[in-house]
Amino acid sequence: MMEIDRADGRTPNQLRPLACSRNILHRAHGSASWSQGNSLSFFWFWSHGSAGDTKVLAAVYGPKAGTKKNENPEKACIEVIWKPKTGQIGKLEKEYEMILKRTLQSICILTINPNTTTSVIVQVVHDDGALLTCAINAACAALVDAGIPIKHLAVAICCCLAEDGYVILDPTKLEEQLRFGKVNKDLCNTNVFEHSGKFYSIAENQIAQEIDIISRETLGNWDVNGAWKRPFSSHPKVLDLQT
Amino acid sequence: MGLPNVSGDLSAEMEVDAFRRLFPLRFYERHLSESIRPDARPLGRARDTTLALGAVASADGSALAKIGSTTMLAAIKMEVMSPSTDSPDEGCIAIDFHMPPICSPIVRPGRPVEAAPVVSKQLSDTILSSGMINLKELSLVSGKAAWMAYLDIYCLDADGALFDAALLSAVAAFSHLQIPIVSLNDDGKIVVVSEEGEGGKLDKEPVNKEKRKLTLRSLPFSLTCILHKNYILADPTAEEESIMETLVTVVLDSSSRLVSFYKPGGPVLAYTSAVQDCVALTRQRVKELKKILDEAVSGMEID
Repeated sequence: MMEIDRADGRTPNQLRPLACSRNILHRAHGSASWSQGNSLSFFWFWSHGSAGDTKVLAAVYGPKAGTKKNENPEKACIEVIWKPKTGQIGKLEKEYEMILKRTLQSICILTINPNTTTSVIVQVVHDDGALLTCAINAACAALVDAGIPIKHLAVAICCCLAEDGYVILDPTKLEEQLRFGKVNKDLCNTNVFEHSGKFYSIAENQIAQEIDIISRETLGNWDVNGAWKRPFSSHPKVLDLQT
Repeated sequence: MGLPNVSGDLSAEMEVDAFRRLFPLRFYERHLSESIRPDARPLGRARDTTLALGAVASADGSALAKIGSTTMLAAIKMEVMSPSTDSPDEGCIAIDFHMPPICSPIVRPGRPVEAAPVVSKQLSDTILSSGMINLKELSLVSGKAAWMAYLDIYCLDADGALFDAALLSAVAAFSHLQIPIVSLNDDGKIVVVSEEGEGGKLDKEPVNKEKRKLTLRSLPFSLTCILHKNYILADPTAEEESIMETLVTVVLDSSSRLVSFYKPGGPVLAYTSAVQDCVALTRQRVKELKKILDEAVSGMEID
C-alpha cells in the first residue's frame, strides 16, 4: 500500500486517540461523551477540545410511556434528536438522525418494553471529521449507561476513499474536505484490531476476518466461535466504561 | 377469528386481506419462500418505469418519472446570479425534494415529513458527486455572471423507492434542460432574451446564440433493495418498506462505476455476498433505465 503523508503525521491506518466517559449528565437516565482526537489530558477532555478533536455528547432519556403516531406500539421506539454545534437544524442533521435511529433500533431489543419511547439526544461539541461515527459510538455508550436492553454494541469508524483508490482511516475535517473529496462513510468502514494475540480486520458490511498482521493475508472469518454473527466496525479499543 | 396455530392453513380461517393486514410479515414470507412477491414480480425485478420529458411547460427542463405507482415531477428553473469568489467560473445547482400531502396518507399538512430532507440531501450528494454536470458549463461571464439551476422535485405519489424515482426524474430533467438565451444590456446586467421579440432592442449580441443543452457525462442511476433474512427484494413498494426495514441503495453511473452505496442501519446486516448481489441487480437496472431514458430523449427530439 502506498504511503501517504497525513497532515498530523498518522499512517493511513492509524486512528486518533479515543476517549469515552459516562454518566456526565446527572439528570439524564444515561449519558456518555466520546471523543476522537488529541485530548492531551483529563482537563482538555472537559474543555472545548483542541483543534484536532471530534467530540460528541449523547444523552438518553427513557423508556418513556407512549409511542409517536406512526410508530408500531407493539415495539419500543427510539427517537433521535441531533443538535449541531452552531446553526439551525437542516437536512444534514435530519439525515444523521435517521441513520442513528435506524442503527440504534437494530441493536436494541425492541420487544422488551413495548409502547415506550427512548429519546437519544446527540449534541455536537466539536467537529473535526468522523462526526457521525463519533455520534454512533457516543449514543451506544449512552444507551449502555442508561441500561436500555441492547443485543450488542454498535461501533463505527470512518474511512475516506481517495481518488487514487487508497483508504485512510479516521479522517480529520481537513482531510475530508480538501484532499479527498467526500467522505464515503457507508462504503467502507473497516478497522483492524488485536484480540488474544491474534489480529482481525473488521468491516461494517461483513463478518470479522482474522488476518496475519505481518503479511496482511486473510486467514479466514472470525465469529467468536459462532457467538458473534454480525459484522462490527469500530475502534475495538473502546475504552473501559468506568464503573 | 380464533388465533391461528402456526402450522395450520391460515387462509381457511381468515380472508387474505385481513391476514395481510394483521400478519404482514408472515404474509410476505409465505410469498418469498416461493420466490415471488404479492404483486407477482420475481424478487429481482423492478416495477414498470415510464418517463415523460417536458411535463412542465414553463420550466427550462422538466420530467415526470413513474416507477410503478411512485410518481416524481422534476422541474428546473435557471436564474442568473454572480458566482462566488472561490469559484468564479462555475455555476451552481440547488436541489430540493418536496413531499406534499398529496403523495401519501402518512404525510399530513403542516407536519414536515421525516423522509423528505433525507432524500433531498441524498439527491444533492449523489448528483454533485457523480460528476454528471460540469459546473463550468453553467458559467456565463467569468467572475460576473453564472447560471443557478434550481431543481425542484415533487413527489406526487409515494409508493416506495422514492430516491430511485427522484434521481431518475432529476437526470431526465437535466437531459431535457435547455439553457435560455441571454444578452448583456447597457448596465452590464444579463437579461433573458424572450422568445417573441426578435426585433427587440438588443444592444449587444446575445451571450449565447441559441438554446443549448448541457453535456452530461456519466449519468447516475440507482436501485433500492430490501434485505430480509437471505432474500433481496429489488424496488420495494411502500408496504414492503414499512414491514421489512433494511434498505440498501446502490447508485451506479452509466459506465457501471459505483457512485454511492447507502445502507442506513436496519436490523439486517449486509454481508459481502449481499452487497455484491445488490450491485449486480443495480447493474442490470442501469441498462434498463438507460434504454428508457434514451427512448424518451429521442422521442422529444423528433418533435
